[in-house]
Amino acid sequence: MTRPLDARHARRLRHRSRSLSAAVAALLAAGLLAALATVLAATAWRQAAPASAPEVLGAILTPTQLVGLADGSAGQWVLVAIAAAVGVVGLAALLAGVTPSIRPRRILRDDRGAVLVDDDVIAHHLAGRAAVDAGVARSAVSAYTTRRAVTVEITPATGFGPDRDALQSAADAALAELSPVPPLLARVRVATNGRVGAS
Amino acid sequence: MTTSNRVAARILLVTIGALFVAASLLLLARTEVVAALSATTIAATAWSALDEAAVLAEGSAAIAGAAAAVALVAAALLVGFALSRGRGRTSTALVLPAETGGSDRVELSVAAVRDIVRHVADDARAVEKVDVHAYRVSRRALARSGFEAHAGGGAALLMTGTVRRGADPRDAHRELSAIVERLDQALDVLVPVVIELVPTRHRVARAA
Repeated sequence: MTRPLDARHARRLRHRSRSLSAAVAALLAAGLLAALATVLAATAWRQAAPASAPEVLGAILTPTQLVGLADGSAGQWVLVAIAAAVGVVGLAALLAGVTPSIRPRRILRDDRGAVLVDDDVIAHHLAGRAAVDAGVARSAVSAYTTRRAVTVEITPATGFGPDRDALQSAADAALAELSPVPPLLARVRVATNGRVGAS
Repeated sequence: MTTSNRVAARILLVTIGALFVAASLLLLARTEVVAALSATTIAATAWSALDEAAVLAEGSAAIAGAAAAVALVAAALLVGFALSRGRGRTSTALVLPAETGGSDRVELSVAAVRDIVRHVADDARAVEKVDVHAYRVSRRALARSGFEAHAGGGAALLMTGTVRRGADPRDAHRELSAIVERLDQALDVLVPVVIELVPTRHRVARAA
């Protein structure tokens, strides 16, 4: 993956798109601006040509009335509720813009194009392989990934202790062969308390 | 894979978010529910500026009209921005332009590519199914990466391979690479390809 286009595609697919949240935020802001424009345009019309202004314009607030709403014309708790709603929307937009939004995916080396593999695919494979290597049922193995590591947890039958070091080496070797970018570390844990009746 | 500018989306989200949070704090300051907030100089200054601006707009038709025009233009720009998000998917995977003097321009649809890919993917063992979509790529981006570029630009293929539960991702990668190789042979031209390997949601789909 040496071409700039492949690197760009890989980068975009590793991050969540903010298109929907950005579009919603933009439409919300556009609505508020349009409402403000209506108030200002109605004021301008009333000022410039009061005789020709239709009666409907009377229903539209003037800028001073609009600012005055916050002075107590509207109930205090109504204002608090509006402030809270606006604050929640603002915080949501701020968080959506600031957080990195990285998808749980890794890039694999390939000369033909960009290749991305989901972390769950790697975790399922390591779990299946660990189950075979440890000689336990697949249901006795669970695996999950974090930003830097994939953790494989094995709960064997009581009295049966798989070789943790051998399982760790096998998982390390599997990840080394895959060599994902960013790299993943394997952590194999064997439960000390086995499960009664498990195979 | 879409062509939307992600930096612009991020800047807009942060700007609108910050403005909304500031507006919320200003409203709270005016209600005097939070006394500490109402006592700040910034809140007092901001509200007095708003009061002055309201009086100014009400006193002059020209100022109110100009401000309304600015607000309308900003609203129109924001609507334009919102409508331009997420574009770029195309139903044409490849365009072979007519040779000089000829009229035999050939367009290959994504559906045709999907059929080829699914036919080849029948033999796959680690991959449960493959889906293909095409996204527009500019002529400049294609040329910069060494792909054949025509006047109208081209497309990149996004191949999504659903990997069977427990299957080796390297096997899935190899199988999809083989599919891409067959596709290259069938099309006789190199198009940008992106492969994504996603897990199956079916618990019964296990690797053979």
